[in-house]
Amino acid sequence: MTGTLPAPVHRRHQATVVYAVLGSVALVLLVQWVLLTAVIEGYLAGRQDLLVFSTLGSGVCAALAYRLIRHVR
Amino acid sequence: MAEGPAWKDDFPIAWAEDDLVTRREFTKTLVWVSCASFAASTFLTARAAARSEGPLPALKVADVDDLPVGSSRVFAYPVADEPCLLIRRDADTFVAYSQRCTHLGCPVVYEAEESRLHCPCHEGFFDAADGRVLAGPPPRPLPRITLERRGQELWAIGREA
Repeated sequence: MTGTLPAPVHRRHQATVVYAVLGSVALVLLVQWVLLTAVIEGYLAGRQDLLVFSTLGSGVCAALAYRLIRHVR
Repeated sequence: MAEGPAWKDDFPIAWAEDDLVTRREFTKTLVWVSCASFAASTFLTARAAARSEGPLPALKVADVDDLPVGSSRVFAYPVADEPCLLIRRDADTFVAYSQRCTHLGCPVVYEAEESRLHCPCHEGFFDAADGRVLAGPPPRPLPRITLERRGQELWAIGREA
């Protein structure tokens, strides 16, 4: 579809995709940092349940970020 | 006379020598940071799991007669770099806690007259009876060392979070 667009419109479209992915990855990273503080807290407090759930959440965030970056490769 | 603003002549930018980072490269770097964050979380979880496996060894920490009422003694448990504090609160009451403050790890000291433990770094206070936080910035109680009295000897046999 984008191949049929005029060049300036195509560039704008690409820029929009890059900005959308950049914003989404930044948001995911923000959530992940909160989860990392929860992991550190769980590690220091010896709370295994908090550790496991936060690590799983962090894994989901990393997978999501990896999936998002595929849109701008 | 220059066509652009005067500051461009005074402070020319050498674009060819500049190391530009594209938006794509920056976004990819964020994804690497995301992966690193997940790796750090996994490492801490694995380390905590390894730490919690198996019972801790029993270690003789003091003779009852060597510890007067209201006094305290530092010992290491379960490894050499884990300082703990043994306290004799009265004739038959002994308690022990990790000596590391749960705020930033400064060593706590026992204040017998107030029946509390004091962290002098940031004025944190813990109850000597159960290790709970009384005041200050510490977010958690002090980890408690499980003690067992064997005749006239005190032994550390475990650690509670």
